[in-house]
This record gives sequence, C-alpha cells and structure tokens, in this order.
Amino acid sequence: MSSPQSHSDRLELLQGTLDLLILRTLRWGPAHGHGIATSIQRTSEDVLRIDHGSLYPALQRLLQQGWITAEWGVSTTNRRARFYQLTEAGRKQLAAESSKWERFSHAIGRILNAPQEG
Amino acid sequence: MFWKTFREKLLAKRGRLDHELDEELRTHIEIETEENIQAGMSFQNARAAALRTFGNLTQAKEASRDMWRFLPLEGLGQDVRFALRMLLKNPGLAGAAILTLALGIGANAAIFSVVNTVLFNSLPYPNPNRLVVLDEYKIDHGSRTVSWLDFQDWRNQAPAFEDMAAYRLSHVTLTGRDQPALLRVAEVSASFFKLLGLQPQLGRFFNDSEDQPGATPSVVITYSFWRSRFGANPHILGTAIDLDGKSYVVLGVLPPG
Repeated sequence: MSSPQSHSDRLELLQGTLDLLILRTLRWGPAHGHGIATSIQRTSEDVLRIDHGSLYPALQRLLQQGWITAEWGVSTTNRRARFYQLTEAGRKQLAAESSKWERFSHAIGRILNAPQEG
Repeated sequence: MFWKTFREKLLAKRGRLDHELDEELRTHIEIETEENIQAGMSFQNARAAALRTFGNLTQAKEASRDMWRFLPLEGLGQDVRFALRMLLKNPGLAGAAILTLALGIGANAAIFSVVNTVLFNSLPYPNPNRLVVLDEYKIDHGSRTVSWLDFQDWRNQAPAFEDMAAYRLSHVTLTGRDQPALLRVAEVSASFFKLLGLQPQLGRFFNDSEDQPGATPSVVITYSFWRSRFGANPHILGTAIDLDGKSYVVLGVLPPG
C-alpha cells in the first residue's frame, strides 16, 4: 500500500457495496483481483479500505450470478493471473445498483443536511 | 453408478476450482509483495504486509469456496450419510422414531379418509344439499323409530318438505338359491328412490300402491348384488327370491355405486 493515510481516516466498506464497486471497476476493462483492489483504493483516494480477504468471495459470488466471467491471462508483470470481465447482465446490474446507491446516498445526505426545525 | 460418476465429477470440479483459487491468491500476494518491495520494504516485511491485507487467508479461501453453488448439495449428501450412520448406531431410537412417524402418518391418513367421506364428499345423489334426515328423539332414550302413522302425518302435514320417505335398516337371510346368505337390507317406503333422484339400471322402482297393506312384497336389488349373485342376468325381473322365508318379487336393479 502506497499511501501513508492514517488508519482512522479509512472507512470500512458498507455491507453489499463491494459488489457494486467491483462491477464499476470492471467497467474500465478486464482486471485481476489485485488490480481491482488497487483500483478501488486509488480511485477512492485511499479512503476505502478493501479487505483483500473479502474480495475473492465477492468475485466468486459475482461469477455465480453470471455478472462477470473469469479467464486466465498474463499480467503486465508477466504473471499468470485470473482476469475478470463484465458480462451484459453485469452491466445491467451495475446500472441498477448505481442508481439505487445514488438515491440512497442522496436521501441520507438530505437528512444529514436538513435545516433545523423551529 | 450415477451417483458415483456424479460424485467424481463434483470432486474433479472442486479440485480444479480449489487449485485455481490457490493460484489466484498466490498471484495476488506475490504482486502485493512486489509492490511493497518497490515502495522500499525488505522482502520479509513486504511479504508479511501483503499477507496482512488478507486478514485470515484460510478463512478467505473458505468463504470463496462457499460461493460455489454445488456446495450446499455436497453438504446435503454429508448430512444424509451422517444421519444414516447415526440411525444405524442407535437402532432403538431409530426404531422408536420410525414407529412414531408411521403411527402418526397412519392415524392422520385414517382420520383424513373418514373426514373426507363424511365432510368433504357430498352424497352421490342429485341435489345432495337439499336432503335431510328427520328423526325422533326422546330426551332420556335417544333415537327411536318413528311410527308409520307419525310418518304419514309428517309427510302430509309438513309443507316445508318436497317429499318424505321412510327407511329402516335390517338384515335378512336369502334362501332357496345356492348358498344361503345374510344380506343387509333397507325397508323403504315407495317414494324413497324417487326422492333420492335415482334412475333404475334395470326394471323399475316401487310405485305408490306398493307400500300399502296387501300389496305384493317386492324388492329392488343393488347393482353389485345383481352382478355377483345373478350374473347380471337381465331376466331377473319378475322372478321371486326368498328372504327370511317369504317370497319377494324383484322389480328392478339400482344403478352402480
């Protein structure tokens, strides 16, 4: 891990959001497990901490749902790695989940920023 | 046979998936270690840090395996085999459990068949919902036979009923042909079958004069009795049979059922 972010500034992922983040990351193109984890951490400017241990169960889950496919390939550092790719169903799921998440975070935001009554 | 090949396929698939998962995780840790080294860590620190991001590696592997869909099935197979082993180990308990289940299911089936006939199946006559049984009760003595004259009065004076018929169940002995036999019979008034809405299979039912005193004693026989006793002989009509030593003329045959 490259950044010296202190531990207390990092956020644990909310339950169920990891799947959404993985699908979003795969929008950029096929990636292997480590690549996905690094990408999420970088994109969130190191705020989101991915527990690598929960990444692989999540990938297996997405495979079972048919939202991603996996294929062995060679990484940029010339290593045999398993690359994951978004399927058409995965794209649809991503769209649905994204809009759900946006409505959710909007609603939470509105409540937190609501002007005081009285 | 089938189970065995199925099992082998499962195990083979499982082995392949296991192998792939191991390799995948190994690659992940190697890449992470490499990056840590590039960031300036010693090899040992780099590897330790890489492993740390995984938390519990075995747990991560197991959680990944749980996502493979055939596992619940595999678990089911294990559970069944375990259950059988335990049953064989405790034959007494197993016997008691099986007996309990058998009795429970048996009792339920018996009760259901009664309830089914009595409550759910309607009577096999046209308009069964318009049939009622009238009876006479004396508070201390329970049900008693309604007298013929009372029945006549009821029939003539109770306008709520379209028609009324009387019956009495009894047993008679059939003699005079082959083996004597004890038969279950019902003595009925003339309008009995008309009231139930039945049509004879053969011949006719009673007419109104036939329950008057002095009329020729006559019977209507059931379809099954006609078949078993008289070989479904169509010439049975008009012949006489002896019941309790008295001669009765066969008028007709009831429909099957």
